[in-house]
Amino acid sequence: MSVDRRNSGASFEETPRIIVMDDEESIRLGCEKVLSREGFEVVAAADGSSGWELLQEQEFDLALIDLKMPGIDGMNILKLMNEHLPDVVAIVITGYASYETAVETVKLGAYDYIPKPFTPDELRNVVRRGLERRFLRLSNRRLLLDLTEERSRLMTILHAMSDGVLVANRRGELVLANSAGREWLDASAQTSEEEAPSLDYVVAVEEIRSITDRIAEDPHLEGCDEEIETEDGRFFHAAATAIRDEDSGYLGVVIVLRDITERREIEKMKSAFVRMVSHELRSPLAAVQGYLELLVDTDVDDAESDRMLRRCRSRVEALQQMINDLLDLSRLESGAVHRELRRQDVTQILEEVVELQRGAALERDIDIHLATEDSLEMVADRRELEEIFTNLISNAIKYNRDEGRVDVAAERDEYGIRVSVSDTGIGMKPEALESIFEEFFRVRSSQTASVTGTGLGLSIVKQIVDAYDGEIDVSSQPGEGSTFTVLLPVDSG
Amino acid sequence: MARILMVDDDADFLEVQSRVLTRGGHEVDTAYNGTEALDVLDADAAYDLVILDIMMDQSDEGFTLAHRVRSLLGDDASIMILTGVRRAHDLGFDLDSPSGRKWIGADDFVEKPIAAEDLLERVRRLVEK
Repeated sequence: MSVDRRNSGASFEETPRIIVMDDEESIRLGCEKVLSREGFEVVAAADGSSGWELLQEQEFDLALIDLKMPGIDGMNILKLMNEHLPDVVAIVITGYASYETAVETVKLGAYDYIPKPFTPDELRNVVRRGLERRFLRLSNRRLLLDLTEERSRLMTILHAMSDGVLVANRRGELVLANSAGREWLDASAQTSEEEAPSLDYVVAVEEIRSITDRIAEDPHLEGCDEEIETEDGRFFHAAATAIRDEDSGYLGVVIVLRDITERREIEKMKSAFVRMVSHELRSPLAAVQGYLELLVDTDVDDAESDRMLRRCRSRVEALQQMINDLLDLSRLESGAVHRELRRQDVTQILEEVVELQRGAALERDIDIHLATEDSLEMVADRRELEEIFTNLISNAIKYNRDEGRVDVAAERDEYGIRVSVSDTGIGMKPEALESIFEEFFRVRSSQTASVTGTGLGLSIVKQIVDAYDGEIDVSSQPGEGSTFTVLLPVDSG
Repeated sequence: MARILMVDDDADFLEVQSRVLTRGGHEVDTAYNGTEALDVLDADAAYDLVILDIMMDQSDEGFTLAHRVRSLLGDDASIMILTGVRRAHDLGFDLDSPSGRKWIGADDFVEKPIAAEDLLERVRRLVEK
């Protein structure tokens, strides 16, 4: 097939288009006939002027140009094409083939020439070579475009990275820095004494220089990791990788800088939390162990041993509660809570919680009063509302005085539903109020020594209230009592 | 044998250890925090030994208390810090270094948890000094 032959050398996505410019009709017809049969699309022009017009109006891959034509002659067409259409392959048809003419047309940008008269075979060959040339030009151009595009794409990616990237050559001079890297250098260089010119940045920043020096001096060192603390107290992880050529010759180093300040902060908080948890778990165990040793190793009377065993049970129960609270808290903090959001009647929930707590209150002759509107509705998870109210009311009982009073009030205002729980208990000092929602914080004195608690209840309450975009406030007078107020926005959930 | 004031924020720990010490022949009073301990000492400073934890209501309350006790009771009384060494380290106090110990001003540092015999032996050594 003719199309296959055409495709043997080069391939086009569309049928190649060829223009033939010649004032001799036989040449035009001959070319059209031969080249159409090859599968090309052929357009003919009888003079230079109409040929040039066609070239400008339509897309052509190749032009066959007679040198001697009326209108614009071949040489001028070549000049015009060279200037305006450099990618269209020009082949000169000439009746007086001479070396000089050939050289001149090539200088003007012609790719090849074919002397008249020519055979169909000669025509096919010269056109095929010309089209291969055209294809190469096009793919080169595309490659070049791709290359620049690729380069700018890479640079865009590099600059968009939040990590700083620095590349230094073998002398430790900066050869590339993305935006984050440059910012980092600017911040670091400002604090160094000398005002460093941009190319010496890497040398000027002490920590980076020590990395590049180390890698430059050790031919076997593939890379290294450093932690760098900047003067403004931020921490960076610098990962350096040596660049070596095939013969292990040292070319330079790539350094990636990552801000790990927050990660370190979180790790610090995490280990502080673990230390606190282990302390809080160890204390009740130590107490239980101490009582058991006393019971086993010494003579204690029945009343005393009964009391010690009760203390043991109470500490073990508190331990159990603490583990439950810790799990609740971790679920709340990780957001892995399954909420069932339904319309809830806050009044009804408060009534139930108060009823459940009344027993514990009665033991110490504490009165609980509930003042609420008939119906206070909001969309929420029932268990979470119960958890908030239970924690606040049971605290109000635990930290109350005997024969004290707990007031629970609920009302709706313009912001949502406001529930307050007041007690007539020991109250808190202002210093304690600041820490009251922190994990494991408990006010410790002889007044609270007999109160068991995990120190996690209010942390859990705060987490839940936060989840509903609510607010929790506390006011307190030492010796007089405390009031906790929770505001739950009604449209939330 | 000796009059001892023991300060710790865990009521059960206080009870267990004061029983151990009482059994060892000592007279023991207890307090739950620094403020209460100072109240006790204000009323009656005739103690031979004060045993205290570092971590109480406020994180380094025990250290402040140690200094107050030293200035109240002078060098005749002994101070024992009964706490987790690692916890002290976390707070910035190196209990393993002599200078750290000197700075805190206590006579002995004992790690929790402590066996009854060990506590009695340590107390005996401090009181005899």
